Amino acid sequence: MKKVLVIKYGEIALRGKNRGMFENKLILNIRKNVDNLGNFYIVREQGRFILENTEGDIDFEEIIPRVEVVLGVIGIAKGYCVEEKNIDVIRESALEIMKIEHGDEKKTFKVVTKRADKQFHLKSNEISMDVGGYIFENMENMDVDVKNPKTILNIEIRTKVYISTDVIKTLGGLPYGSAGKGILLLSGGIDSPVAGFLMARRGVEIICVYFHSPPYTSERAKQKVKDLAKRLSHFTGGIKLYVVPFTETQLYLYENVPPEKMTILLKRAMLRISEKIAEKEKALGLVVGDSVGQVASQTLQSIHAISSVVDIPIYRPLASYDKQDIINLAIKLKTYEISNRPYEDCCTIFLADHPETKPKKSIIESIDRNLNVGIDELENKAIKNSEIVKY
Amino acid sequence: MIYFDNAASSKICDEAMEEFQRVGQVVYGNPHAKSKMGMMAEEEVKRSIEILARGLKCNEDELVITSCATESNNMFLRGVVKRYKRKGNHIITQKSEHSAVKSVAKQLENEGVEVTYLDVDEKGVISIQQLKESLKENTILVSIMHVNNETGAIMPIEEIVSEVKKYNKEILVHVDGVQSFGKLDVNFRKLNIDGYSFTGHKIHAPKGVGGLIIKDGVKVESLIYGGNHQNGRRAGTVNVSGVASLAKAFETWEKNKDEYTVKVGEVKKELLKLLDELDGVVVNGNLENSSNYLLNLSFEHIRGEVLLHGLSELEIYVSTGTSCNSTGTGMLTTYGYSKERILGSVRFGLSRYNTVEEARETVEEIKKLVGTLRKFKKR
Repeated sequence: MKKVLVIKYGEIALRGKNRGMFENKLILNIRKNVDNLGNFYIVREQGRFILENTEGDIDFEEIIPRVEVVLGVIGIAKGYCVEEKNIDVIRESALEIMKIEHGDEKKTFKVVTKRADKQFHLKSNEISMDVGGYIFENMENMDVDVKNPKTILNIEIRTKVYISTDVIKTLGGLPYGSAGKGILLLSGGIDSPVAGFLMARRGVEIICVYFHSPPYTSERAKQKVKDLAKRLSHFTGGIKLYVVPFTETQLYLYENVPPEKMTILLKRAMLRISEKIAEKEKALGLVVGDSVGQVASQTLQSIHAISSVVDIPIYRPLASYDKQDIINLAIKLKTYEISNRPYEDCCTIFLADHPETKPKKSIIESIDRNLNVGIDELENKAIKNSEIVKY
Repeated sequence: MIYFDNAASSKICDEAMEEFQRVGQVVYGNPHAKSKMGMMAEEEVKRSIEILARGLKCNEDELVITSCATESNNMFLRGVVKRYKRKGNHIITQKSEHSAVKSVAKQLENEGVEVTYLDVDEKGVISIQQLKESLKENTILVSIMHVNNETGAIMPIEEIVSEVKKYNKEILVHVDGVQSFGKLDVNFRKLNIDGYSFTGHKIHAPKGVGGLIIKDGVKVESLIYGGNHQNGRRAGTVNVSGVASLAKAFETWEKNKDEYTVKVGEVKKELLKLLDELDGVVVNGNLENSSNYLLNLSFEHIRGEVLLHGLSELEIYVSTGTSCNSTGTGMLTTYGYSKERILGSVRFGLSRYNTVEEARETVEEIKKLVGTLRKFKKR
């Protein structure tokens, strides 16, 4: 009996001709995370991969944290490969596994069998009953409950026999990088890293952009954004961050636009710069953390007046989220504690006490048109002087 | 690089560094070990305590070596309250204390101790009248800082002690001396106080070593239990190279203090030219009775933090007591200043390594920065 890891993937199993491509991408991403821990090979079974160690057992404690963060994986389970396709061996192995996994703990259980190899002489149901009965007889703490069991033991009869324990639900989604590139506007707040994660989970490769306005924003605020990008790289296996010097653009806008419209025009400038970076990076979309109605610049009117500045699609995965839901997700992703570091930026001095909440797109656009020559130069200079950090 | 953040922490001086290395690499035994090596280490500790005690005018066995002034403050306040709870349950401190005292007082309050926080005026000084009115039968301790860490305002310790002891000589007086130790002359005996906390890293010794003087006869419950170190007052192996280094830094200051005081005074004078050369600059605290090592200024229409970041880009390092958008926080609120003045404040922490030329350069850069920044005020 050899320890293996059962890795389940969701949606991509449903794909048609592209399935191979998605599977390959996922295998590549899993390998990237585990390969420095030993010599592994991956067996493709239907809807799942089996990760095996050429040199013996899988060390679950070491491997699970590496695989559970891989996007596209919907669940993992500790598995045991039984070399002999013999019901006596299966029965004994199953009992041993139950003892390893549950010890003396009082629990209800059931056995579920899948017989892919129809040559095997017992039917799925017969195997489940046989093995279940044997466990029940030999473990006093285990009770059978087929409707609502606390734990399920899975037996799969394939080319080999795999017995696995309860599935740990993981992040799901699609393999990272299988859907093209997107530019994430990362601010240091709670929302944008969550938005980035959600898009990454749909397979989008994320490139981050941060607008740095010294002396109005501090070195520590910049460090915070770097740490957020680094945290995201935990899920993406690497990330690139552009730190765009933004002070000059900001001051230019301050001098040239009415205070209550400042935020809208600032955001348009940020999108414009991001679109140019997208061109450079061959990215196909922008990703922002907007949640409808959260602040003045996130009303439908504001979003309408802001978005028209670029042609590239803008993705707002948090548009419909409540703040608390975003926070909960941020806590799970461990970005919350980074976002919450108290380095406030001082850009608020540029903002009006009562910013416009229902700006007119036509007016905003005409102000922006009048700025264009001056601001274009500043924005290009900002991109040129960007600091690029890779994690 | 120009470093005006010495009140936060300072560069280790050559003398202290050499001492740290000598003791750490040569006399590295455990001072509590029975061997000769242990004895040699113990000798280093004794010698260091001698130097400190002689300078601060206390007995050697009144001095406890700690890890920092925060520990010293905790030890004295908590230790006294615990030990003297039968005598009373009331302590007095004041609103502009460093959090190393104020937070301890707040915690004691949560634990059921009655605490009076005295007000300070716009100069950063408490009112003796209010102190007199606050003293009660069950008062056991008064803790007042010597020099305020943000403005340099000096508290009238002698007068405070005299009033407290006049009321009841059994009430203990503790002084947080972080910004006076190794900067002003401190005579523990003459001040007639019962506790004095200090730390090394503000006077060019390494971080991680400080001290507490506990007057002979005053009982202070230990904070940390373990071995019977330092006569059972503080468990834990003494930081031998740390305390040797601290004593060396202190000794160096003592030898040259007149020269240093003059030098730092000149640097402060140069920085103060900002008042004449720039509009809308005011001194926070006061200039008449304040430490030469500290200066706190507010710049009208400027956020102190923005100025700090601007200067930081030029490798000129200052500090602020509040961040940009915070309201109702920061020590300066206790001085009764407006929010604008508080948000516009910047602290300069001086040391003997600063020069008048550095101060001049800083003044010039501030003038330039303030000029630019004022163009972009909040509308």
